[in-house]
Amino acid sequence: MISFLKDWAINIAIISIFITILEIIMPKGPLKGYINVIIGLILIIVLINPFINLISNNIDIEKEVFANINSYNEENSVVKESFKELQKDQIIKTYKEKVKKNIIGLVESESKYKVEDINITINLNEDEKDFGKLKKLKLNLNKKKDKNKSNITIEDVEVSISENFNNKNYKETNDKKILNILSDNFDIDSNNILIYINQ
Amino acid sequence: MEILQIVGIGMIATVLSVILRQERPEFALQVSVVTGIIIFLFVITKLTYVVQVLNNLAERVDIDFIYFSTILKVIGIAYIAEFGAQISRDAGEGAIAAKIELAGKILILVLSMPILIALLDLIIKIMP
Repeated sequence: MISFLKDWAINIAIISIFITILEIIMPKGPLKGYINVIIGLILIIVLINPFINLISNNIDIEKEVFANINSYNEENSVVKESFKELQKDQIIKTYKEKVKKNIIGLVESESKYKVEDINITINLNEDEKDFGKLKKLKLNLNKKKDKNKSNITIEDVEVSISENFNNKNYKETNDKKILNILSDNFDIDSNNILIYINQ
Repeated sequence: MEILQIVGIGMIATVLSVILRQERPEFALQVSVVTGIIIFLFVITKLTYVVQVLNNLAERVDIDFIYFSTILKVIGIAYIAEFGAQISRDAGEGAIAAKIELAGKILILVLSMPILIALLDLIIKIMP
């Protein structure tokens, strides 16, 4: 910056001396005015030339820098966005697993049934207040086998293709105990809990 | 002492011109023209030194040298045009003198146009 100002001052000094000498050798006639106009133009050029160089250079550099920063940010934000989605999916998946584990543990410890299958629906709308709350719960229960039982009776196994819980082996139950435990622990309306017990 | 030589030439030419004007006015004009050219040539060799110094000065400034050569050209044109116009005026031809000056003005304007354009470019460059 100092050298820039120094160059500028030297330029102005030199052009002043130059113009003074020119004024001396200039012929005194009607053409003097024309020469003075040109000298004035050159004086203006000398005055603003380094300044313009500085400004235009800076503007160019800033433009380059800003363009680079912008492109970098755009690229980065795309990657970030995809990562966010991935992370959200993983969080929801983990959350569901945890809830399922919790329910299974609770049901198996509090009742004499074993959970065979579980299906839960969770509120996934982020904007709502009860985001993450259990909306529906379907349980497939089986009677716990007594470990002490020695003679296992083998029954005819009926294979059902239908995945519907309402197939004939399962029967809907209204076991108040399980219902209450679940609705108390998971803050879910007991009407939304469906429990089927394998007969 | 060049100034003595020049003044001597000038005095002799003046006396000659005054004497000849009454007898032969056409020769008086030629005497004044020749005297003017001689004095001009005497001085112009000295002027080269001044022009060289000006050139050196101009080279120190970090802008285009073409501007300074243009200015020197303009001053040369002005000198020559004034010289011609004064001789014409001395001969009583004011109209021709005016034409010579007009030509000088036009040539100076033509030379100054590139500088004007350069200045305009600079000013446009500074606009964001």
